[in-house]
Order: sequence, then C-alpha cells, then structure tokens
Amino acid sequence: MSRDKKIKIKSMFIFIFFVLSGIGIITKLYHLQIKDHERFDERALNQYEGKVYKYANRGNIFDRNMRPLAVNVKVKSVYAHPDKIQNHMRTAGTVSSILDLPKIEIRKKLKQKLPFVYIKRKINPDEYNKLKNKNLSGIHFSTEYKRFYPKMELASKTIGFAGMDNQGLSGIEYYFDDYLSNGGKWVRFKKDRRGRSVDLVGNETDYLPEGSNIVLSIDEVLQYHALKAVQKKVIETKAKRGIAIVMEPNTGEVLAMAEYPSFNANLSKRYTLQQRKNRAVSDAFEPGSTFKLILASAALEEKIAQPKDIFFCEDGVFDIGGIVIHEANRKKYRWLTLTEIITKSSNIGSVKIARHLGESKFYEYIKKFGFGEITGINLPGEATGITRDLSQWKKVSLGSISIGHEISTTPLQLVTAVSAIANGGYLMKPTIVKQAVHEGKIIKSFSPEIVREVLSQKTVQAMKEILTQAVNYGTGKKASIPGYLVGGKTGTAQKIDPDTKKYSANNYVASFVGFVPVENPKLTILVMIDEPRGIHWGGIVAAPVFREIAKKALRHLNVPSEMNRIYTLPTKSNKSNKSNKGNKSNHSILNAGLMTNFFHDNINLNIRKNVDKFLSRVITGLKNHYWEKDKNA
Amino acid sequence: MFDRRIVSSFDWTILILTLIISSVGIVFIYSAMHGVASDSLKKLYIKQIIWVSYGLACLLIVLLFDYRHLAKFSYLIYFFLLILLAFVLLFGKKVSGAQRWLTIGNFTFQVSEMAKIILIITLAKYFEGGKLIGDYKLKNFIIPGILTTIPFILIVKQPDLGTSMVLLFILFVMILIVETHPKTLLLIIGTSILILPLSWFFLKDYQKERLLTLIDPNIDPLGSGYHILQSRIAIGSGGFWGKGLMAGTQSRLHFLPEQHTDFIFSVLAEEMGFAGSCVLLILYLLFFIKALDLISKVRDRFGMLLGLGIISTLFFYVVFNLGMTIGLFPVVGIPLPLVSYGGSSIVSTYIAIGIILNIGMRRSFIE
Repeated sequence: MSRDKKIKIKSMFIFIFFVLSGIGIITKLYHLQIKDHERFDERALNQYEGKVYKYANRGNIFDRNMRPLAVNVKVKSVYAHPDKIQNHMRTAGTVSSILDLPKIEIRKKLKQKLPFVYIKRKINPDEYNKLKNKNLSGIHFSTEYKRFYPKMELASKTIGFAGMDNQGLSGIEYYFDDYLSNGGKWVRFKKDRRGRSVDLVGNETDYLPEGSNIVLSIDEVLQYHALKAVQKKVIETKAKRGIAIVMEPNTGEVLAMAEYPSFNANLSKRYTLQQRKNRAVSDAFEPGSTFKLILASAALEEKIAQPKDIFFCEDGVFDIGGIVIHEANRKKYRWLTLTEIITKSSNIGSVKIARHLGESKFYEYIKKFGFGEITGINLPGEATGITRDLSQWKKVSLGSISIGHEISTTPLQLVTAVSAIANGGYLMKPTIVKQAVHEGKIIKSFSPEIVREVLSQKTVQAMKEILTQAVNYGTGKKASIPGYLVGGKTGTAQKIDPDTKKYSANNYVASFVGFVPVENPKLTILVMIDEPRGIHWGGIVAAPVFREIAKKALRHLNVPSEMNRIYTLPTKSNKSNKSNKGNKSNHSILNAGLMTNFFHDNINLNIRKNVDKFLSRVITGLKNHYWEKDKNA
Repeated sequence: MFDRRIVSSFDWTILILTLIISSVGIVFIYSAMHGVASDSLKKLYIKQIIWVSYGLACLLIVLLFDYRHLAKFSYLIYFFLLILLAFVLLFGKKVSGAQRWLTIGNFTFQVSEMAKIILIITLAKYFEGGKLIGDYKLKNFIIPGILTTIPFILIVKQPDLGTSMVLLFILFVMILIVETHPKTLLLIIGTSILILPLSWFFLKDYQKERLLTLIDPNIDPLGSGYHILQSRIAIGSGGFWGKGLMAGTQSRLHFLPEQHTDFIFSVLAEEMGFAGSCVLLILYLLFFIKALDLISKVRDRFGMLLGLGIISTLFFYVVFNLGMTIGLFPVVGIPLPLVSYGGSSIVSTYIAIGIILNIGMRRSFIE
C-alpha cells in the first residue's frame, strides 16, 4: 500500500469519525431538546419565574358627593443595604439628624447582617430631599403609598385610619378593609439569577391593581357644619365632648356623624385609643328626657292615652317605691296633658304614663325601637347599650326607664329611633356606606332597609304635634328655626359618677333630638353635649346646636321653607312678640294656610286643653280615680 | 504575486462557511448580551465584528506566503513560542486566577492559542521527513514527545488545562496519521488508557468536582455542577423550535454562565431550539468535510500533516465544546471556534483556516 493510499484511508476514517461525532451530538441534543424538553422547560420556569402578591392600591373613600375623604399619596421610604455602608458612624449620624431618630437605633440597624433593612418608612418630602442630597452609599429610597386624609379631623372617627402597611385599623377603613384592599393578586414576574425581578416585554410587574372605592352617605358639608357647631358649643360650655348625628330619616342614611374633640387621622399614632373612639356608635349614654318620646309613642300607639288626656303630677314630688322623683328645676305641676308632660318634660307625668302603659308593653316598644341591640350599621365597635331584660326590672325600673334612666343607648340608636317617628313609623337600619365601586363598577350597594314598622300613621301624627309643641312652647324653644317647623325633645341626664356609682350632681349629658321639617322630615339630628359646665339643660345647651346644624343643613340641601309666605308678613310681630302666646298665635294662624289639618288640630287642642284643665279642677273624683289606677299599675 | 492557478484553486466554500459561522456567532453574542445592564458588555458583538475583521486580515496575510516557508522556520517559531510562554508565566496578566494573557500595548493576547498551531507546524515538520523507511517505532516518538511536553507543562502551569490537553491531543492525532507501527500504536493507546485513571490524582479539587458533576450535575447544583446544569436546562428548555432570538430566559436572566464565550452554544440551542442547533452542526460538518476533502487531495506530506492536524484540532474544539455544553464532557475552558466571543480564539482560528486554504490553493503546484 502506498503512503498516499494509506493517508486516503485514514482520511476516510477521520471523515467517518466526524460524522459519527456529529450523530452522537445530535442524539444527545435530541434527548435534551425533544425527549426531555418538558422536564427542562419546567426547571427553567421554576428558576426564572417568581410570584409576588401585588397588594392593591387601597381604594379611596368619598363622601356622598364624591368628595375625597381618604386617598393615597406617593411617599418615599428609606432603606439601607447594611453591607454597602462605608462609614457606619457618619451615615448613622447624618440619617439620625435628618430623620429625627435616635442615632444608636440607626447604628444598630446598619450593623445588622441583612441585605435589606428599613430605616424609616413613609418620610415627608422635606426629609427625602435632604437625605437624597447627602448621597450616602448604601442608603436608598423606595416609593410607597401612604394613606392621606385631606380633611384631617373632619370625619376621622367615622372613617378611621389605615396603618403603615395600608391595613385598615379603625372605622370605615377597618370595616371595609376587604373592599378597600381587594383587587390584589399574584403576579408572575421573571427573575434573574440573583432573584431580582427583570423587566421583560409582556410581563405584568408594572400592573398595579386598584382596590374598591367606598362611597359614604356622609355629606362632607353637613359633617363640617355639625362638627363646627358641636365644637363651638363644647368650647363655650367647657364640656368634655359633644356628638352630633345627622340622619336622613326616610332612608336611615347617616349624613353626618361628628364628635368633638376629634383626631387628625394623618397623625393617628399620636392619639390614644380613647381619643380615637367613635362614641356615636361605641358609647352608650343614659338618654334622659329624650327617652320620654319613646314612652309617649308607645302609650299613643297602644291607645293607653290620648295627647289630651290628663295626668296628675303630684305637685312636684313623687315617691316611686323608695326613690323620690322631682321635676326638673324643682318645678311643681299638678294636672298636665300627655302633650304637656312631653313638652314640659315632666318626670312625674312620664312615670304616670308609664304606669298606665305597663312594664311589658313599655319593654316591647323599647325593643321595637331598636334599643338594646346593635343597629347593624357598617361600622366597627358598635355598642348595644344596656336595656335590661324585663325579668330583671326592679320595682323602680319602670319609673326610671320612663324618664330615660336605668337604660343606656348609643347616640346612633337614639337618632335611629327618633327617625322612625319622623319617617312615618318605620325603624330603618342606619347606613353610612352607599356603595362600593370597583374599577368603575358598583360591586355592592347598600339600599335603605326597613327593620320593622313601629308606629301607625295616627301615632306618628300625634307625636309630630307633641314634638312640634315641645319646640314651639316647651323645653326645646332654642331649637326652633324661623321658616321651618321643628319637632324635637330635649334631654338632660345626670351622669353616674364612676367613683360613687351614684348620680352625680355636677355631671350631665345635655341633649336634643329632633327632626325638620315636621311635615315631611328631611333631617333627624341628635346633639349630645357631655358634661357641660355652667348651665347643663338640654334645652339651653344642646337645642341651639341643633338649630345651627339644621339651619345650615336645610340651606345646603335646599329644603324649601314651609313658611315662605309668612316671612314677608310678620317681621314686626316676630320682633315684638317675644312672649309664648304671641308666638303661638302667630305660628298657628300663619301656618294655617299651609298645614290646615295639622294646625286645625293644634288650635282645637289648645281649646280642649283649657277645657280639660278646667274640668279636672272641678271633678276631684276623677283625681282619685287616676290615683287608684296609678296604684294598681 | 499570485499565479492564476493558485487563485483558481482557492476554495471559496470554506471561506464562505467560515464567514457564515462567524456571523452566527456575532448574532448570538448580540443576543446573549442583549439583556446585560452594562453598555460595554452590550456592545461586545461589535468588538467581535472587529475581531473577525482582524481574523480575516490575518487569513489574507497567511495566504500571501507559501505555507512551506513555515516548514523552514518551524523550529525557530517553536523556540520563540517557548520564550513567549515562559514570559507569560513570569509577567502575564491574571484574569480570574489564570495567568494566560500577555499584554502588548493595548492588546492582550492569549499565547496558548498560538501554541496549538505552532506545535502542529513543528510536529508536521518533524514527521515530514521522508528519511524514514518503514513504520515509526516508539523511539521515533521521543522527540515529538519532548516537543509537546515542554509547552504542555508551561501551559498547565498557567493553569490552562483545556489548551494543554489539546496539545496532547495534537500529538496523539499526529501519531495516528503517520505510519505508526500497529504494535507501537496499540502500546501507546494502551498506556494512555492505563495512565488516564492515574491522572485523577494529579487533578485539582475543582477539576475533580467538574468530572463528578458531569456524571450527576445535581451533586452540587449551585457550585461546580452549576454550569453544566444551567447549560442543560437552557438547551433542554429550548425545545424543537426554541424560544426565539433574544427571548432565551436562561441567558437573559443570567442563569447561564459564560453565555457569550464557552457556553454560546447553549444560548443558540435555547433560542433556536433543536432545529437551529442542527443547522449549526450541519454548517460545521460541511466545513470539516470540505476541508478534509481539500487536504486529502494534497500530495505534499508537510501540507497534508499540517492540514490534517489543524482540521483535527478544530474538530476537537467543536466536539469538545458542544459535548461540554450538552453534558457529555467535563467543563474545561474550551471555546466554540468561530462562534464564541474572544479575540485570540477568533484570530488564531482564522489563521488556522488561512493555513488550510493556503495548503489547498497551492496543492497543484507541488510535485
């Protein structure tokens, strides 16, 4: 064999070896890329695909006219990469001086063997600019969303506030946290070898889900007027606090829920739990005289008495089995009609009515009006108040409860109960949230809900008359509003001294609850001034606050005056006639054209009342009869 | 300067295949570095284009001279190489623990890349001699053995195990090609097989680990098994059609190490899939068959030995690199000729191809 030939053969062998090697590599590739492809694909996916839970950008809270009450603002947070800090001492010093944090604490954080540590979250723009200009190595900033309450203390007790991680902690923020924070979801992202997320075309890392918005039934303007009026009175009377609730009686919607002192929701951390408590729903008070209208409604509905029926008021002193009841201001009444008992707020008269009504009926109506149970409003921490079960009533209980003691109610319960009188006899479930809106779609709406029918039309009309008189001629005069008929009831409840467990001689809750306009009420308003100093009467302290809120609310809501026509006429007489009688006749006559029926009755009532009074003095036997009836009851 | 016959016997196919494969390399260097944050790394493909241009220039220069001049100066060149290698060991630039680079002005140059070609030239020169009658015996391999061992040791010291193994491979290829006595051949092969397991004890720990992880990369998935595991995941997840150009997640997200150099094939296989891998393999196969065909027509013994030596070495590189990325061979730093990023590799490969073309175009002159 020649050399050349040998080499040719060897070349041939090399050629075959080349081809075989190629086949070998292709076989292996086939295994990797086709046969085991799925397995490797999965492994690759597991490596590069990360999943994070993207929290939704918290939904906003609006008032009923879509004015923002809680929104989100972009803020910066400071964090550190401790391993990249060059000079711990100097860095800690600079950071502590700008952020106003203890230096030792920051140094401790910077010394940690962690790749990431928060220094301070959600700093203000000023701090951010200062710190950013320092250009410290290892100190970085991230963008976060912070809850911001543009109206600060306006409705903070109702709205509540959200924490550092945007979780609702109180009020609406807490109760509707599921709605406000919904929309969050798992988002897939691609991560590199170090686990950093990498922006690749078509991935979802930029997507920021939005939580649902909550639209309240609160009207920011009314809320403002309510808060300001209460604030003014609390400061003026040096009271402990004041609460006002404005409710639309026909729907049960809360239009305003104000409490002073309030707190600035943007600085919620600076306040104590007690200071942040929403007492309009969470605290129960002894209602005092305002509770008499529950009693009167029950008596009328049960036809136990008519508005004109007279009761003997014992000349101002009445022993109800151990406890002696007096009238307010030590007044002495003898015979009063039911109407007068309410308008003059006679305690003894109320006890008399209650005795006629009887414990079980009274208890039935107390429950019917919703006392002793939560109203079911969409707010956290609602109190039930204390309504003792009938079996636990003592001998004096009927008398005490009839004048609003031995029972406690939340402000919301009371305003809801009075709304039932205002709206024609229906106990509504109070609502504070109108709807939840997610990405432009209403996902939940809260429509008016009737809990039960409590009173008949007839009783409602009678109660409206009585309550109108209570404002026009009775204890609630300072609640009257020129141009509108107001129905309402004052209350002055002695508070129980927490130390002695006895009724305090100094501490009162002055209240007024009423509705306006009487014929077709648009507003039910409760005002409670807790522990006013000086004059403590509900009619003096709380009624003017009612008037102030109601006046502004009526104007804001464009409720037409019922007495438009009157007001052009009697400017003179209005000034000169300051006596009750002058006012009475003035109103009665001038209103006759508008509210014929109502005032026709009213005039008759006046006449009848005088006749009844006369008769009562003549027929003394009648007195004995009532007396015995009282005893039997 | 050129005879018309020389020009007419120039093999354009090989040059065109060379340029096609180089272009594939540039495309995938671009793709591999696309997602990198650093701008200078992103523009690496431009540098590769420049290197290919240099390579092409060197190839043309190589064509100018008759390759047989190389035979004349072979021992001189060899001597010069040894000096350079010693110089590298003493003053070379260290890159990630290995002293392989020599800096001349702005250039850094990997001398060991040239060592391969120079050794082939030197051995071809040695075995050219028609002085020998009959077959080569063992004693005839003593000088080639020494010629190989000296650069081998110098390169092992750098350390650059991959390249030094190539030198042994070159010697082995030469022994295979020349007229070795069958008994001697068997003796050499037998001794190699016996020595191979013993070499285990001379390996460094990381080298042992690499061999172990070849068997099961999951032994140390984040350490020595990482390269091979990630490469296999990249290739395997590519599937039949691949994830598309610049859509490879493994390389884009930096799971794949050395994505632009030694593991460039993994990028290609991930992004172009089985189909793309086969296309590249076919391009290589065409190149090698064409080159082999060209050299087998050469009657000049020096030219033939030189040509076959170069082809075998290039082939060794291709097969070993691919085998490494798909998990058939241990991870040793061997680039994929023409495709991997790297100036020394590109230029020396082009020079090698230039020599093959040179031999091919002058074959008909020799007689």
